[in-house]
Amino acid sequence: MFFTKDLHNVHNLQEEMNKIFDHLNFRFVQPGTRGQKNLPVNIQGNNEEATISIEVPGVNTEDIDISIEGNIVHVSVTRHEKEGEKKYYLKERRTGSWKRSIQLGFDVNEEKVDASYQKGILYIHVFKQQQSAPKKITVKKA
Amino acid sequence: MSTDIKDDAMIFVPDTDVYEEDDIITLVVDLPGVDEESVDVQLEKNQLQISAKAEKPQFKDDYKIQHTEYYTGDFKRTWAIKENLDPERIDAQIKDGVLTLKLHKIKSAAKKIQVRSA
Repeated sequence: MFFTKDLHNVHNLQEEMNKIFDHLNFRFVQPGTRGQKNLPVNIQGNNEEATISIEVPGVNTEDIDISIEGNIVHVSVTRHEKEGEKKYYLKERRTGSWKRSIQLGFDVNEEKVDASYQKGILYIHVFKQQQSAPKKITVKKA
Repeated sequence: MSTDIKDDAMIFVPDTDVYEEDDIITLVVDLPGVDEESVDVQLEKNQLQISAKAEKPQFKDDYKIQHTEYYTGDFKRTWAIKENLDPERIDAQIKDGVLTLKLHKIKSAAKKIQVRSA
């Protein structure tokens, strides 16, 4: 049904086309090269909080584990094969277990972490651990 | 010449699994960040085109980008399919950023030739 024999040539052709499209501010991106890694991570935030976004479509929330260790957020995700042992022509979607440890610029308040999974993207909203205010010591007169 | 590519000008070719059973072809397509309404599936003759738009999430105004490993943009992929497919019977379902398309093949009924006696 699908022709993979000339895939290499197609890739070369796409590269050539990209060179043309580059002049037009437009680009095709190959499958599998969207994120460089499994669990590609984006981080956006300010000095007090941050949202970590991880692209991981098609997983069950039970298969997502998040833990906090100081300024590091550990994430592990398992993506299962859902179609079973059917005859396939093409498999580009990777399955398996992946781990990422994301280091932030501040210690994370473990009590205030909020994680949600929407449209195949995992969002982890973290807040900076507030340092306890310096304790003022009054000096008593002798 | 500089290749300053704008984020929203990117078109991604989504990772796809293709399965085939006797009368159904199933495509499983990763479309992270995509809304149900933005998915467009078109079957014209033997060409199947899937396109979708991923919306950028909105964060607080004072948020700054600190780290980027993936980009948000549009998805597009076209398939040439040898079998005749029924354009009226395409089941499409999107869940957790994964589109599952079930395409039904048209079974050409074997034509029975009657032999007439001369």
